[in-house]
Amino acid sequence: MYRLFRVAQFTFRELIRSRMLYIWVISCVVFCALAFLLSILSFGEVHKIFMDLGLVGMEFSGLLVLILSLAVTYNTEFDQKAIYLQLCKPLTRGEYLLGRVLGFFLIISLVIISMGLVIGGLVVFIGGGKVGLLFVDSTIFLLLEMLVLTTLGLAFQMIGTSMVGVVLYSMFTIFLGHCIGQVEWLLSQKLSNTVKMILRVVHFFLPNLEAFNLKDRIYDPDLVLGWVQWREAFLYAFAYSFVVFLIGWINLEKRQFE
Amino acid sequence: MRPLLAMDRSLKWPAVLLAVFFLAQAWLSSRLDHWVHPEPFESSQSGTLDPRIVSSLRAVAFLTGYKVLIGHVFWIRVIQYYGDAENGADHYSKLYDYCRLASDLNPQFISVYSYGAAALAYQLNREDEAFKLLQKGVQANPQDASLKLMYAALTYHGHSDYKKEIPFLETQIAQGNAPTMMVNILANTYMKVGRNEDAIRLWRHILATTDSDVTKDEAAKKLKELYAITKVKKVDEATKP
Amino acid sequence: MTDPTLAIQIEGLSKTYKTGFWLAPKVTQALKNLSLDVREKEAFGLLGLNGAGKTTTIKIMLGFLSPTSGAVKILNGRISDQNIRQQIGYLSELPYFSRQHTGRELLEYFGSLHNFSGKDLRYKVDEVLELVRMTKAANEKVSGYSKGMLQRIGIGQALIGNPKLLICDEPMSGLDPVGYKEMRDIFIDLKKRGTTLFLNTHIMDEVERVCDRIGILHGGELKKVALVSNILRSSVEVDYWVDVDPQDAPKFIGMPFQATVAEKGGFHIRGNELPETLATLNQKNIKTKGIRALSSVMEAYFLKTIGAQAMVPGRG
Repeated sequence: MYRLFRVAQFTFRELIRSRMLYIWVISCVVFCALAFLLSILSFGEVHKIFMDLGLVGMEFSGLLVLILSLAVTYNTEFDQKAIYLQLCKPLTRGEYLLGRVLGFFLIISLVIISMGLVIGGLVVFIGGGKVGLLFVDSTIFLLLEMLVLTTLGLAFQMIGTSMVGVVLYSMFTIFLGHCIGQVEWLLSQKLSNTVKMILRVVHFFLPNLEAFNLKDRIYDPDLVLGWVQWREAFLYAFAYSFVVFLIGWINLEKRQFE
Repeated sequence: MRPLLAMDRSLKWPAVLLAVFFLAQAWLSSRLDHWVHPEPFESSQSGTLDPRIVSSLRAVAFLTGYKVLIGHVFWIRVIQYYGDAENGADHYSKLYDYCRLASDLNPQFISVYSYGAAALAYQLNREDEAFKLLQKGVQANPQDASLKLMYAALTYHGHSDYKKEIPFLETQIAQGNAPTMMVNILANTYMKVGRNEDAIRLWRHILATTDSDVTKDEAAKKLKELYAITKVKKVDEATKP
Repeated sequence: MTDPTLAIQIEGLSKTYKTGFWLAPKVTQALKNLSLDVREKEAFGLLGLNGAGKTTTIKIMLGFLSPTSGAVKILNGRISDQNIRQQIGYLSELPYFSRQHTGRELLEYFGSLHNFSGKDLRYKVDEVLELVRMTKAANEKVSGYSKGMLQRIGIGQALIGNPKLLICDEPMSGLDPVGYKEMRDIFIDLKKRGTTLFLNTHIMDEVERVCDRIGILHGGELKKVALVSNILRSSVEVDYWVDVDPQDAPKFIGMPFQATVAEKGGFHIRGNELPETLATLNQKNIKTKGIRALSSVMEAYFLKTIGAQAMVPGRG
């Protein structure tokens, strides 16, 4: 466990010092400016726009930090072979991967939570609105989504053979993971059983990111967010992350560093 | 003792764990599908709009999960489109479709229904479309009273029963979340039923608070009209911006 | 077979790489049936040209590559065993570190991977920094380090776990003469302390001064294994370059190097021909301006083994 936390700490420090937080600042400024602009253009409801845009901004910044961190660390670890010096130590490859996941997740959480605080402040002090519990719920769901995507991105890093490949795989999965509704729609159409079976398999392989997309349902009157929903969302996030972690780990164990 | 995160070369237990957790996540994913709305990328009803633009924007919304944000984009398009006098040449034919698309992406976007319906029914005399939009809004937001009030008002408006329409408009405005054009509509409706004092009060309020030059001109014109009817002097003073 | 006196046992190791598209695969054999033992406390140098298979050997030893056939035992165990990895240090060729950390932070991190913590870790880091002469620059960011400093931090991280076996891949790569000498001194010091050294290199001087035994790898095959002391004592021929005055070229008529003398002011001669040639020059009253060995004994031995020749210098 000690080594695991040291890997996480090392990763976190590496990312935080590689100026990832500039993304946070830039995102904050861009999204706040956009929120002001939109609120002017759309006649009022400033706090709603701040909230909607804020949540989008939080997710966007998290994703940006994730993608850039994946690219930067792929270069350091695999292209420049920094991983060799770590894996020849008494560190297991599972510890290495889990430590990386934790380090990445920590920095992404930091970005999302701090941006959430800024957005919340703007909603209250400038928009004149209240930050409801749903905003907090959405942020927690966002963090669950990021846990899934971080694990997925790092698993791709263990599988991928180039930085561009890792970034592209991750981005495609992010996009496809939001299309569960469209896969469901296809399943409801008249299609052959084989196609439907393939679609169902694809559905279960893709991360169900819509399950965490509370920001798009924040005003939904039918939204029920009780213990069952929380439990299922958490369990799903951890189960999917674990599956992806295992795939990444097995790949790292079997990886040929040619 | 073997460390916790060490893997056997045989990969037996990781394979078993993988299978078990894959099934678990698949089951949980299907449980979470009740939050997912099955919808195609392409809108089957792009109507008067370019289907390629509509489908592209919808695709972006679905692929990124930023449906509410793209809904805001369509909403701004609604406002820009309706605010551009040039579009009056074809009687703002695309207004309904823009409102429908914005509300498709964000069904809880109350402003889209109320603004769209008010414009369509009161200003463009396209009550059928206004009703369709409001019905969609009420269905998606059964808890929202303002849309129901507007629906009722519109029904009486359709029957030219203005006296019955007025209380619904008044309540909707009093609740504070009606579009600003609803105040103009109420003022006009007061005039239609001969409640000129109420109409003057409202037009004066509009004149004092609006930022729009068009609305200011309209308010001044209406006040002149009303002062002429009610023989109120001080017309110039009252109509000063 | 387990032999407690052996630090590395390589048996019948082969590695084949498949490259290219699946329709037109290209097969490269990087290692061919390599068998090699390295004894404990020995300094062993694996020599070879670029692409000889040295790095592949190390990668297989460290578990970064799976062999196509054959087996490797490190300290009588498998590299997948954490206890074995606890006892080895590895320095890769031109080691790369996260540029965002200081030298001290890096060593602390690598030390913690060897399970050092708290005071022990700090003490160990200070000790290693002192050993690799990096105490002064320890708190500077790695991004500002020179190649030599990076190499020293590299060796530092390899030594932080008090390794019984140190494996280095081209440790002198990219070092200036000062850095080279410092690194060589560190190796000599480690050898004195009883650390087993396995060095992949093509720098003969390093081998001559540090290693006890060498293996010569060429085209994936182990051509020879020999004790350095035996090689140095051997009768391996070293080639020489004899400098003369170009004006004396006419005096060389009838001798095979007349043209070279006229063109380059000297000639290349094999070691066994040197005494006789010098005698002839003496008879003809030709004065030599200098005699230079074109290679060290080690280099000559290496070149002879792989079937190559020493470079003849040009005259500027």
